[in-house]
Amino acid sequence: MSKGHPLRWLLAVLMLLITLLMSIRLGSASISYAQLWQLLSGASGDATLDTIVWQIRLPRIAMAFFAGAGLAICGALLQNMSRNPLADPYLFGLTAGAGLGASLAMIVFPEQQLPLALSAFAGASLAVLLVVLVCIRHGWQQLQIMLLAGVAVSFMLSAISSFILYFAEPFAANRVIFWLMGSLSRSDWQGVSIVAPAVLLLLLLALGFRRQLDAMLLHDESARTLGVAVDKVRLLFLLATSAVTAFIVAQCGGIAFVGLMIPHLVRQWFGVTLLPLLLGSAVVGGIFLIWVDNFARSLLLQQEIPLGIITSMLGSVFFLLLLRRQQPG
Amino acid sequence: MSAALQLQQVSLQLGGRTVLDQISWQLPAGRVLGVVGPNGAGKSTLLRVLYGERVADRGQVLLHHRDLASYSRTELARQMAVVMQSPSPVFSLTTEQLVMLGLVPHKRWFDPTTSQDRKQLQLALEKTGLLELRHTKLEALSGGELQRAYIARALVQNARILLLDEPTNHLDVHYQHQILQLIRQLQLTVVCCLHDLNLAASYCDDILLLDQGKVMAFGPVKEVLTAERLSQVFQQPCTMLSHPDLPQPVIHFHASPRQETS
Repeated sequence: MSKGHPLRWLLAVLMLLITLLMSIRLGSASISYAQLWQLLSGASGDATLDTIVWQIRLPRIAMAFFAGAGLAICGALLQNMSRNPLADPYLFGLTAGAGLGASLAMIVFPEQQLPLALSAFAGASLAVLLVVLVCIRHGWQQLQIMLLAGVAVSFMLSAISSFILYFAEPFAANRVIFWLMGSLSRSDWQGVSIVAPAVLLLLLLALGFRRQLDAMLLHDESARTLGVAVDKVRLLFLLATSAVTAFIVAQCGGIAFVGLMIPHLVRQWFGVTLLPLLLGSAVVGGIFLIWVDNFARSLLLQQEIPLGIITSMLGSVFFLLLLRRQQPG
Repeated sequence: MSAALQLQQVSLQLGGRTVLDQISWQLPAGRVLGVVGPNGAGKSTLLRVLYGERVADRGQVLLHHRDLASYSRTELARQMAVVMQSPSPVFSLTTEQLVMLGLVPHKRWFDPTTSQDRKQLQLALEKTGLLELRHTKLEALSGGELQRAYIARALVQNARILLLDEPTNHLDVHYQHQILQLIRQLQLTVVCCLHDLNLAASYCDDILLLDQGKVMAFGPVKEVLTAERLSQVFQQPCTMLSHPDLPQPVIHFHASPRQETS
């Protein structure tokens, strides 16, 4: 696994530790390292600081880490599985589906008080279901169809959401729009307790199938001659990555480009095979989103910037640079 | 000698066209079979039927006297390794990573790579002369080296039967001979599609000559590759020339006599 790059792994883990320590201290209430140590070891007598760290900052940081790790893992899996470097968990219409779910819950059925996360999850599942229904007819062989179906489903569900938002009263519409741009401000331990196990379970499942998934890097037919049930493995991981992305979107809204961008970086640093790719994506994706969230909550006074705006801005610039660097032909 | 592979009246239609037409032959273990014939003769399709990618409409394929259809995918992969003409991967692996994929049918879930596996990898890289290229990315390998890497993967797969689809395609003369010599040295049961009849004559024990999905001839090289039969199948005049140093004749196709126009 890490045999080729022990130093890089060490660096990544070190970065994660530094990130965690710095992020806990970041915020309007300042905390010294001595206080932080007391707080984390449970020896602090300051109840306010205790609440700030344990109930506000830590769950938020944990959510940022697991959401970033999860999105990067999903992106890496989808890219390797489809042998398409542009595959991304959001390409399958998941955000649009979650947005529709949120719009329905907050605008069309506000009296029912449907939980936002659950409605968003239902919407995201609907998007996956539509993509799956189209792809099943093609026997999972045409990867391009999978991606194109995702784009079409995405537009369709977005159109319905826009229609609902257009007629909604401005306050409710604002809430939905802000949520769609992605935010970790509502993070709590309950949300973390849903996202973290989902991400870890997906990671474990993928590592169990790592040899099969690596065999699929070459060619479907070649993988089959190695005994891999290619169609079944692909269906399993399409559903699993969709479920995990849906959990993340339901908790954090739309955070674009993490799933697309992080695996590209990690491949260059740690390699293309699944074991280093997934572990690297988890660590780098987690660190990345924690820092994005740090900026989101500290860049402007009294106001948070939606995460999706920062990730999209960074992601698109990164991507344009990547395209420029790529050799023609 | 017992048959490793046996085909009984195998037929297959694709898009309304008969691609394989009542094919029957059997190959004893340890022999190298060359499958030859003109374009569209059904060589690659026959290979696909052998490794279970396509299922015959009629007839039966027996692997070690057992119906091929009764093997699970993993069981089949332990018996049979395939070297096909694959496009180069999008996310590039190194030679070693490619060769290690031969372990896939032998590993379950979280089975780690053992020191025994590493030894096997080492041996496969040695046999194929790829030790020094083990950390090189596949796109940096030459055509011949890439073919050898796939053969090394087949060695790690540890199967007794090796199927190859045009392994000498796009290779220069030196590599063509090198690959086929390597295949012979492995002492496996081999089925190999080949375009070059002289290479087939030099390195194969038996030849299967296909034309339009039908078996035109099957048997030892000298019996199958005759000037008359080859002229007929390839529709090009053919002569067998004797070589001063080689036991087998050299097959030479030449231009049809020009029709004088008046």
